[in-house]
Amino acid sequence: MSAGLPGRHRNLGPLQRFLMRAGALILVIAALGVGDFLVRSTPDIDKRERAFLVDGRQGSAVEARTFSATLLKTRTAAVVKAAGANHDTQGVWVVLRMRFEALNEPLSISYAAVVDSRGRAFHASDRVNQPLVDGSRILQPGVGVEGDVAFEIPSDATSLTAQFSDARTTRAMQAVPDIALSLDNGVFLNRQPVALDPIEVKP
Amino acid sequence: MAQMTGIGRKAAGQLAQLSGQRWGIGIGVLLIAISGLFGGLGTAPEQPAGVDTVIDAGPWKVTVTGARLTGDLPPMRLSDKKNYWIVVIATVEITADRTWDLLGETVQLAPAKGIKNKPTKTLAGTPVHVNDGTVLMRDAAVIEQLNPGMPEKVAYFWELESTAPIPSEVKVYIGFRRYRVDGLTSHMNWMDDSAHNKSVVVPVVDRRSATAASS
Repeated sequence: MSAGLPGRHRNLGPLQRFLMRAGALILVIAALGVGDFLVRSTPDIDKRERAFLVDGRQGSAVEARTFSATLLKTRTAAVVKAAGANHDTQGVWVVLRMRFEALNEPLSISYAAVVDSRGRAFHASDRVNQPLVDGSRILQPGVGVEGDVAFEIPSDATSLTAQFSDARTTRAMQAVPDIALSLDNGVFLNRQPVALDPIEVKP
Repeated sequence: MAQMTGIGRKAAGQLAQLSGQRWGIGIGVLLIAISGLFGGLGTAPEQPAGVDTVIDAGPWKVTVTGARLTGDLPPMRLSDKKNYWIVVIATVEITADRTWDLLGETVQLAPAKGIKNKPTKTLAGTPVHVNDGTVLMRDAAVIEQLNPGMPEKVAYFWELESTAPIPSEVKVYIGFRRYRVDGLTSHMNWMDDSAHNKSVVVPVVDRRSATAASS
């Protein structure tokens, strides 16, 4: 009998077949490696869908699509007084006098946090009652409401900004005011208890 | 040398003649065997930790320091004045980068007789009693959240029926979470890892007479 017809893949030896399969395996691994590199070198979903921070400073209103936020006054304290009780802290109390105004329809502020340079977010304290930012106070469009918001932060927190949102569960792709707090150059820590002032409606 | 080369060629030849399916089966069996060598086939044993031991559970570190049996203890109010509180005290430090507002899951009580809250199951299937409330020891404020970088002593409360046997010790589980991709949203998040929850057995100090005198 004559040998088979000549062709590229015919009459390969065992070693050549093994090398061919090994080569195919290396190509698959290389393709996966390139894919992994592309995934790592492009923004992940957390970055793609991050909140849109709107910069602001004390005294000027910051608009965040559905509401505006204005930082009126900043205080720091070792003790906060609320509902007749004193609340001390191992760090610092930061008390912000805020003004919020819904722009188009009724809403409530359900997220308030002070963020530091390390990216740590310190939410408004639940040691004191804070209806203005816990989602329970409804803001009517065009009617400004002012009130104190208290945060407890550790002493090593620096470069602070205050952020607010009407979205409770996720702030992905939401506009979020990011108001710089001027506390880094020598925080004046009030040794006397600082009382939280009442919420006021100020159209 | 020539003989060795011949054996190598023969082995390579035999490997090359194996079908892809057989290669797959072989690699699978090998991976399972390696996994078995490192305990992958065994049932994960419960890993008890001691009182006063720092337990790093992912987004928080918990150190259980003791437990008390008390009467009514404001600001926590018993549903029936005859009942008692089992109070577990722990130092909790949030190590995640944000305020954590599900404090109840950090310390959960293992099933015990007479606890008013019926047990629920963790995602890993372990039955636990959810607490009735958490109180900051610093100022006796009822809290649901703690801040990162600010370790605090926290009291966890469970109501015990007056007819139940008085426990000399209780077992609590420290809830674990792991930072990984959330399969639902694709975002990175601290996800339930209750299969690795650690237990701590805590002696209970009877303080009923002290709380009865002060109330």
